[in-house]
Amino acid sequence: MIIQPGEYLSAATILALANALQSAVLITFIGHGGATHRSGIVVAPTLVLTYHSKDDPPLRDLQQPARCQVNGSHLPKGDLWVEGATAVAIVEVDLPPEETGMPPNARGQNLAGAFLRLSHPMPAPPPGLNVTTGRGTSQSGWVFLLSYPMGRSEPVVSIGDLLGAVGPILKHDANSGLGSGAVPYWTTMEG
Amino acid sequence: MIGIHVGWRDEEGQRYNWGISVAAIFDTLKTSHPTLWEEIRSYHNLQTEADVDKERLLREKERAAEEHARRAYEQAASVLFWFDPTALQPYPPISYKRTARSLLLDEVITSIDPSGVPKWALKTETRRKALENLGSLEQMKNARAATHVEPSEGQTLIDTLLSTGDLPNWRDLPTRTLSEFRSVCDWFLPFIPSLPKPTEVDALLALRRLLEPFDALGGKHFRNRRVELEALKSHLTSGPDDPVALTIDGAGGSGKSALLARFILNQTAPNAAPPILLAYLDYDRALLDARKPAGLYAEIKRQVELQATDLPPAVEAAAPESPASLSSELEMRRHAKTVAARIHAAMKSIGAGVFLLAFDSFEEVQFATSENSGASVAWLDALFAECPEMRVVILGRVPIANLTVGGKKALALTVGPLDPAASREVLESFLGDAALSKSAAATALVTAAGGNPLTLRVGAELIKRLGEEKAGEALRDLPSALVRGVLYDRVLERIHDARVRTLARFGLVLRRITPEILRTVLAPIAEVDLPTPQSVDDTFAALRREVFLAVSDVPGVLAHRPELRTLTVRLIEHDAPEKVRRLDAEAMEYYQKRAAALPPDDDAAIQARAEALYHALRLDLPAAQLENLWAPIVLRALDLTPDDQLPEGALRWLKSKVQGNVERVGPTHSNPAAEERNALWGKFADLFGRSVVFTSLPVEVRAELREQAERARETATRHGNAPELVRASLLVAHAAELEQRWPEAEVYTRLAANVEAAIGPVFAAALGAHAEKIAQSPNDNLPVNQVENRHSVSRVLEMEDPALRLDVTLGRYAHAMWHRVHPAVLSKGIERLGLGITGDAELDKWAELLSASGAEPDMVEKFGRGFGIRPIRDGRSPWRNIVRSAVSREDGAMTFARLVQKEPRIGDAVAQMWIGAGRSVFHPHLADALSRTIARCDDKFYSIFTFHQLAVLRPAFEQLTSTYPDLPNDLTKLLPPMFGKSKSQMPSPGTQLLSDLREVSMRPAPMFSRWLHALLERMPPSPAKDILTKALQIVGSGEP
Repeated sequence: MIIQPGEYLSAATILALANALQSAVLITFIGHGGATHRSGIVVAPTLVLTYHSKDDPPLRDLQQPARCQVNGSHLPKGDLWVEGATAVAIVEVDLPPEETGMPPNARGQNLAGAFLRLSHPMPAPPPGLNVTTGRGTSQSGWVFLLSYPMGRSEPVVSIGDLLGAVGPILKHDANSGLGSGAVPYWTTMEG
Repeated sequence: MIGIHVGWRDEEGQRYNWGISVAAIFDTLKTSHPTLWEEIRSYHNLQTEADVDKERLLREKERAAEEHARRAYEQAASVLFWFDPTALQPYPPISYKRTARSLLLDEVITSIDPSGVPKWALKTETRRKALENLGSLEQMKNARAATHVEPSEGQTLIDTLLSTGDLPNWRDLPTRTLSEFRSVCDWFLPFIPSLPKPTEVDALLALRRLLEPFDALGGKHFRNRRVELEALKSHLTSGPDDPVALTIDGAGGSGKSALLARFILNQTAPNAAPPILLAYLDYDRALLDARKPAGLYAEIKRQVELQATDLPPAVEAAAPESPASLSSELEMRRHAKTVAARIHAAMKSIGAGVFLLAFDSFEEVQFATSENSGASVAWLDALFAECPEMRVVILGRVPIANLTVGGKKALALTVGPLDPAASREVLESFLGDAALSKSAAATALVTAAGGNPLTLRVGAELIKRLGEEKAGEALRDLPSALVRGVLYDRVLERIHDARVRTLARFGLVLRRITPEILRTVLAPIAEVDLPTPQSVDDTFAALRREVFLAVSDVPGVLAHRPELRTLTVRLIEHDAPEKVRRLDAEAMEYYQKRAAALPPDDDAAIQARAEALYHALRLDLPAAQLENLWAPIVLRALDLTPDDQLPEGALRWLKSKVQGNVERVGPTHSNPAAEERNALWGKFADLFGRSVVFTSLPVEVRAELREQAERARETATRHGNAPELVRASLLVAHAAELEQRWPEAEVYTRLAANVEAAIGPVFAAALGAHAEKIAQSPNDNLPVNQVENRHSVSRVLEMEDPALRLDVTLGRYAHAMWHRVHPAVLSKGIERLGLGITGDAELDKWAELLSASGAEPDMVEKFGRGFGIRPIRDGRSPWRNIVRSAVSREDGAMTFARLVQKEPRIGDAVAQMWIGAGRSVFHPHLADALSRTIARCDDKFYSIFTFHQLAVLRPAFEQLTSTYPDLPNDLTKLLPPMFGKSKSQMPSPGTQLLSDLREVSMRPAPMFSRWLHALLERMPPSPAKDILTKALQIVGSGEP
């Protein structure tokens, strides 16, 4: 733990954290006799950013009539997707490999950013995200990891050190648990 | 920055979590899914590339305009020493929406002049850049013409420089202006190469500061003494076969110091040829300890280096401070050699042909070292052997008989009374009025004073205060022995405020007056009511103002001149004997309490004990009572002068102590009464319990003690009283040791140790003292059983008994044994028993132990763990000694640094270490270790840079405070955030800083300044950084 008595969290950091908390959502896919959890960031009233594995895509495998919850509210069956044939509307965003060298995850799966399209806007649309175009230039700082570990219904925050940044890949040591490994949300002091 | 968390990865055995920045995903989205991106962008109102470009252009333009304006203001300010930001006119003239105040805020040192007008000065770096931008003298002149500023010394220097292009006569500038000139040189040297280098100005400044006290003594009132001056002069030019030392004696107030001062002034005047190198040791003033040659050598070296600041850094090991370290002749020679090398380098640097070493109040040396008959001073001889160009002048109130230096008997010179003509001249100078000095009163004074300049000075004051006529009456028929006392008394009688007058008179009974003793002792006896703290402060301030000729160079202390005090006190004693006696008694009690409240080794405690003893001597208490106050170390602070009229019995007792003859002062009766024996026994047992070990006692006392101890042991055994048994056994053992009956000592010690182990720590203190005694016995012929004995003590340490979780006791053990006990034993003891530290005093003890035991790295770590991180209390840091010892080995320093790194409150810890380091020699190992430590906590600079550490740069800050008189104010603003405290929690940083500056007497080692440079590079811009930058510039090490 790196925040010591006598140190400061700036108002801006706390504000960003509060914004991020409001934007974080827990996504639950129900199907195949079980539930899969993901966390995500609401980036527009009907758009949630998360990620998935291209090789073993839990989202893609979900077959109709899968049901989906966002923050515990059941979305009516079939309401989640908008774009024709796909069960869940997923927009994969491959990061340019030359820039990222985005590593596979611990199980060797290739990953991609993914957007979920909601059929209805979120009840309270998220406040403006402090999404700047700045890349992670800083090699040090604090990381606040927001997640729903073990499918908890309330988001939690863990704090760690930013260990380094290579292009868009950021390394950190904030605590994470099963479920936070899906897609939580994080921010640092800088940028 | 916001990202999404993905998972964990292993990389080269290190596991970490990772994720992707959202910005990166969006960047990709822009081209891969423009409609999605547009949706997000418009929802968050994110800017388009075009928007961004437009805004950037606008900002750049704005920035350029601002930069242009700032540059114009900086150029205008660069030729002003100080300026008022509201009056500053830009050069070249421009018009811009922001004011100079807002533009320059980050580039200036700010202050406020007494009338409340802001007073700013450009930072040196900014100023140099601005001057560079101006480029020519002509442009600088134009910039100067743009703004009107109030005249000041600094500005006059700049203006003269700009109009004439040079300042060739800078050496004639007064000292205050000189420090401003130093700044001007620093700024303008790159553009006006004929200016001296700042280090040259520093050298002159240092010399001026060294000589300033002489100016006050031997300056305008000095008259005559031609013969003596001539004798001094020829002493300086004497040949190799002539005496090395010249002693000058004379009664108090006869003008010895003034004579020496005038001589030094003559010799160091700008036109004196050839120049001399000088060191001046005043035992009366400085905190010099005549018994510690290492300290004296260090002071000589310091002064010598002040006079030749371009000396290369000395290559030498850190000088040990303890007197013991110079005990061997070899050590002494080694030190002398080092100092002599510096003297020679300095002589060469300033072109001096002779090195003059002058002492004032030399009787202190004689008193402290008992080297008063036919003696030589070993360290002085050692220095002369290495430095034959040295000539010594020694001042003392009593003749210094048979002193030799370098094997040659010293020349002696006595400063006699002034002749009437010279007396009149001196008086005229004091009176400052030719007519008054021809008056009848003046004539009477010349006669009464008998040629004593101090009497003339007091008399002159009397004439000035009383007027010619009344003074004339007062001077009639004075008893010749008391004339000065009478005069001084009358001067004090002229104090207007009756309360202050009463206090001033009775205050003479005390050698030093502080607000505290004024409140608790002096005022109640003088029957002056001081109900509030404010009234105490006000009255003390009034005393300082009104008490003529008192020395008050230490804040909060008024010290009387002994030559005036002692004579006058006799008159007061005559008037009010009862009150004077009460004052002496209560002052003694006050100082006893004060000494008891302080750590025993503290200088203040020693001083307090000396004062208590002084009053006890005045009270003529019986020897037994005096003995209670006695310790050899007190002698150093007792500071008696021949003017101190002590009762005969007290003097005799003191003399016997000084000569180290204990037997003569023991019980003097041929057949001591039983009570006295018992009292002695009690005291012995008590002292023994407090680790005081007797080294010599009269035979009959020893026998008596042994008998008592054995009886006590038998009784204890009979009654099964274990603690008593331990005590008695140890006493028997000790008595046996005194008579060198080692086997017996061993048996009883072992017995005590065994009983001790059974009963716990009750008398472990005594055991510790015993161990000390054994530890101090000569190693070479240490009997085998003693070695075992020591082991038995060690075994006590190793016992698992929780009752042996000692507090103070363990400290004593360790303290007692550090000489010889193997560190491993101690280490084990600590492991088993813990540290048992309850207060700073124990910490200090441990630190001392650590220092002595060679600072094994694992021990350092153990100690550190035991200490935890403690807050600073009263500025006395237990870390001081630990750090000092830890850094003496490279691995020790690193262990320590690692330890500090582990601790969460790292900033505090480092700050503590800094304080410690600042007060001793700054060791390269520590610098290295600390810089690594600090590299890990880059955003914690402020907690590290407390003003205590800033005070390390004492010379720099002295300079800074004279150049920037408002610096303490600035620091006041800076310090609370540095401490992370609110201002109200701070102990008046301005005053604290100044007193700390006075205290810290080191110059930064080159390594330290290198370290600071490295630190500055990493420090974000801040006021603290500016101060440090400036300080470093002034220190002028010039190292990158």
